[in-house]
Amino acid sequence: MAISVKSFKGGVHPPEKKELSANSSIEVMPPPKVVRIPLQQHLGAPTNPIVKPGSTVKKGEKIGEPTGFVSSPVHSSVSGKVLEIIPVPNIFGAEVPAVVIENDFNETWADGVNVERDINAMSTEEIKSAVKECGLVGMGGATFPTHVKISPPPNKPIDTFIANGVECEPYLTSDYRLMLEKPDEILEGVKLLARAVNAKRIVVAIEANKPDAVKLMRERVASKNLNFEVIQLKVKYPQGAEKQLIKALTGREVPPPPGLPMDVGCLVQNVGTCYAAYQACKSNIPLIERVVTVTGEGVETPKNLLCRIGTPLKELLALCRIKPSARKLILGGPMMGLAQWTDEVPVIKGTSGVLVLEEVETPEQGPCIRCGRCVDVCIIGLVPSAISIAGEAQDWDTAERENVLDCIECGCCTYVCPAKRQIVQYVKQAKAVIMPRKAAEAKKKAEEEKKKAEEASKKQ
Amino acid sequence: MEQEQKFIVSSSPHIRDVESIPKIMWTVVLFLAPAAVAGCYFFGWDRFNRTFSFRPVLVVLGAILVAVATEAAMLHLRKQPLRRALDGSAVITGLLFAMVVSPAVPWYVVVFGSFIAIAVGKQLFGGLGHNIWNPALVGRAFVTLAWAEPMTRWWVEPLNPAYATVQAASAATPLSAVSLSKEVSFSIKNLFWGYVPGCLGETSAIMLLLGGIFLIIFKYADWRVPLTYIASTVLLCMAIPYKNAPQWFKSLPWYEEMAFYAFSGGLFLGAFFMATDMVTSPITPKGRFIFALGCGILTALIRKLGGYPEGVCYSILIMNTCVPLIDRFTKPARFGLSTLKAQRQKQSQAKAA
Repeated sequence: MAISVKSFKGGVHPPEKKELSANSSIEVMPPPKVVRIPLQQHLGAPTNPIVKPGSTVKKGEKIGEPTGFVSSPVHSSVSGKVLEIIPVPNIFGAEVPAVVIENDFNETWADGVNVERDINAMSTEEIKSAVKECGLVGMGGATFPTHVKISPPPNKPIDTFIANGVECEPYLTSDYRLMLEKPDEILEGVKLLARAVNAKRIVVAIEANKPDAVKLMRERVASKNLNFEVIQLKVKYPQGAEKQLIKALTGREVPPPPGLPMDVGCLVQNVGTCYAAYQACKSNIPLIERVVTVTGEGVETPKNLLCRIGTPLKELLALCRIKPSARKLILGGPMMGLAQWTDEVPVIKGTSGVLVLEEVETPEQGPCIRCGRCVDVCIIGLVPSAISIAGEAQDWDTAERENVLDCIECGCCTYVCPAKRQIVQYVKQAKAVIMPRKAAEAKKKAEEEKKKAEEASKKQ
Repeated sequence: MEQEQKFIVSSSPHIRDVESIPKIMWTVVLFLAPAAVAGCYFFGWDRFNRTFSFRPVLVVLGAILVAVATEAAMLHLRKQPLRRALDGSAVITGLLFAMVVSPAVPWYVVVFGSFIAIAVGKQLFGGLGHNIWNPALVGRAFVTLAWAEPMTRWWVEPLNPAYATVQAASAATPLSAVSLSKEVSFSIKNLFWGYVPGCLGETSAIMLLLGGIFLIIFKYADWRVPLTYIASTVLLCMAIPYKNAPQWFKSLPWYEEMAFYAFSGGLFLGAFFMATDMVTSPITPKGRFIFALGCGILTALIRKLGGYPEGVCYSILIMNTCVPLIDRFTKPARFGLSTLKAQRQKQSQAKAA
């Protein structure tokens, strides 16, 4: 088999730093005494609590009911007693209501959970329902509800399913370890999700810096007689970004927002999500635990931990022995991860890594010297320098004209900027201004049209 | 929930590349230095009397000193951090300015030129990153207009600089000799090494080429710019004949004529170190190609049809002016736009059907 190393235009090569945790096998973290499970862990509508303080819950029992289609239920990750429902710090620096549960350490499973099922006999509807009921969301970090992704409208058929094992963020190794330790389960999950959307072409995409994972996956695919392609991709950030991955593997370009992969017949799922899909379908086990890489120069023993959703970060940091010199706590990788102000934040479904950095370089922002590096590395074809200059002047109209809403905030431009400009920060600010404004405009327009239609019908 | 903040919060990304403005600027200074040192040798050393004149060295140091001092003063007036005066960018401007004047120019030309370059050419626009024109060339354009005689006539012979008598008996540069039909011949070898009269730092093609290649290797210049610029100038110069070229020039074989166009005047200095100035050139590769092509065409036109024997300075200044326009029409392709267009076309077709 010819080894083709595929890629996309733009991107950067930051130091990988995966060696810190790459060789640490997944370690099951002891469940904490108290978990705090946020009622919103996904993109979309929040969930309503269906338990009350004082009630007992079992492991895997649903505690948050979704309030819309683009929403995902939340389950208890331990068995025990609900203490209270209080706001806790969320990953965005704000607060989110969370169910606080005291662990009774009995590990009693809820009814109907952790049972054997014949996955090969499942219909596509049964797969979709299991994925939905088990609260699956994109585990790469975007946390978009999986059942929505595998339910495309009939006019947008999916022909290609991509299992994303690229893990292009530096430092992170949770997907890598999962691929090495649970390859069969991942492949079964891929099979299930691909079957749910009736995809003809099935690809397992892995970055070329994980040759052992590529080799293992190829062996398993061959031994199972599957028609999956295991494809190596060039080591380049952000190779794992959905749009770039699709471009590299199929040559297709997902249209600008609100364009989605399904517009070009593709579906991308993180390998962790595929593993969760296997567990959901095979045993009806909801998404109540996940692998989290705890790494960075700020911890003494970097690890890959299998931990319960709702475990406070400080317990992970204690286990990996955080150094007194730690200055920055980041959820996710160093390129796109969110800096946290407190370690009280709990692990949620999208927590792929906890990165602890020692020295914090806070470079002073200089003037743009128009070197063009940001333009060269931009994977979306934007002119980040123009966006940053507009952002500095709070000129959001210009930022919008420069297609700031297309930006996926991969951070390449800001990484290479010799003037150390905070381009991503300006992008986030611009989006926070433009998106509500656009939504309001759209609403107004819809209302006007409705009015017109009403008037027209009255005349008739 | 009131809690003590334990960690520093900032926007992603949390790691940065090692590249920085001072690193870029000082590296450019380093790569410019060989040509400047060569100029100081050619126009300082007198091989007959075996004496060394420090005049070119003083021109270089004086221009740099005035540039940095002006930068600092303007930063102070603009209430900007003073340490930016030492980020290397003012040193580049001072050095470049010294390299594009004759080593024989009076001291006030150096002082005013360098001052205008920084004060008017750069700081009045808002300092580093905000200027439209290459500051050193703004300085040069100013002194060329203000003191035309020393700027266009006072040339000295290499390795035999006669600064005392330069006003009465100045030498001819290769380009002025050819365009004024003087029977003073220049060998391509001397042009290549830099043993010809001319501006202080523009004569040594080899040193500029070496510095330029390093600049490209270090990714501080886009190879498209010097290549396009030099190629288009040379080709267009070949196409347009001189009105009355001297006999020695007419007898040059075509390849030597091409080398003459490439190595003479300020073309190498302009193509490698001025047209590649990040601040005043387009931001996309396509834009930089158009920019360099424009520079090349204008340079050839001025050389062959204009009133000056050399046109690098004004060509670059004119093209600098066009940069915002070029940027506007050479934006990179927006990701996914082709799919969107195809989708829309399909929809409109479906509607029509």
